[in-house]
Amino acid sequence: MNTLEKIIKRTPVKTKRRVQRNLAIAERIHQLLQHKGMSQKDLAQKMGKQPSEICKWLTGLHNFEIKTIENIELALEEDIIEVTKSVHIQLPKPDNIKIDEPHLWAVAEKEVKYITGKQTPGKRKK
Amino acid sequence: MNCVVILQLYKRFRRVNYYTFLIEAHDKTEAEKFFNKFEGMKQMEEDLNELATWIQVIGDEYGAMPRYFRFENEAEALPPYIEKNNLRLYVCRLSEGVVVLANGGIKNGLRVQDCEELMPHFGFANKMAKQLRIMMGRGEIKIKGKEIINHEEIVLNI
Repeated sequence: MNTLEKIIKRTPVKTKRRVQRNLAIAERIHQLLQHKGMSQKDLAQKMGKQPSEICKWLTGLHNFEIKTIENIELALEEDIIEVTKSVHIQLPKPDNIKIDEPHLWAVAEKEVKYITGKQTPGKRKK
Repeated sequence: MNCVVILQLYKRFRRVNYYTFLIEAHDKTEAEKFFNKFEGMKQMEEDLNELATWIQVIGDEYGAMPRYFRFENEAEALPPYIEKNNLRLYVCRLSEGVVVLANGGIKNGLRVQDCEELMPHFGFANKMAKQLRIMMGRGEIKIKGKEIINHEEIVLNI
């Protein structure tokens, strides 16, 4: 393993996520500019910025603020980032929650199986 | 000085192969010297992590596009413009799939000429980049995708 590989391996996840996100945003802006036939200079003019500022954004190492992204979205009339709307909820396992009466968990589990269709209504105990 | 320099594959990613220079009689490649110099330096850790991750993400996902490099005469440098990162790693970007890593240091002056530590690496990278481009123009260096197909036979002079 060479030193670059060692550094990559021990780099904290938060640094990796930041670099990945910033590069993804830069790529999205670059693609939108290409798609719309706009130059960096056009975007700079539309946003009242210096072209050098746009150039910095497209290097993928700029730390974007949300308000900057909003302004770019307005200038390009396209979304740059999307926020996930649905939330995946996972039920806790019985070992991870405190239930004074264990039979309550069994009842709850059966209800969940019934609701999610894993148990047929005919087999449901009333 | 007439000294032989050999190209060596340093790290392979999905979209980019990073090569490096090995100077004859040196035990470490130029890229290895650079990363070794800063590995373990607490004050440089964040800059180094950022640079290494950036090299990986570009290598795996996006390719070595010109906009990701800082132009330094015949050569290029990493990272591209960033306010707080003072590391400079000189490279020769030969295509979207091939980048040759040289050495570098900390930029602590306004111009590279003001930085004693950087100047030799800047000079070396520029000399190498010039030779590589001339050789590419003559067809002595051939790139196929992300491979330099005849790199074992390429000899450069300092």
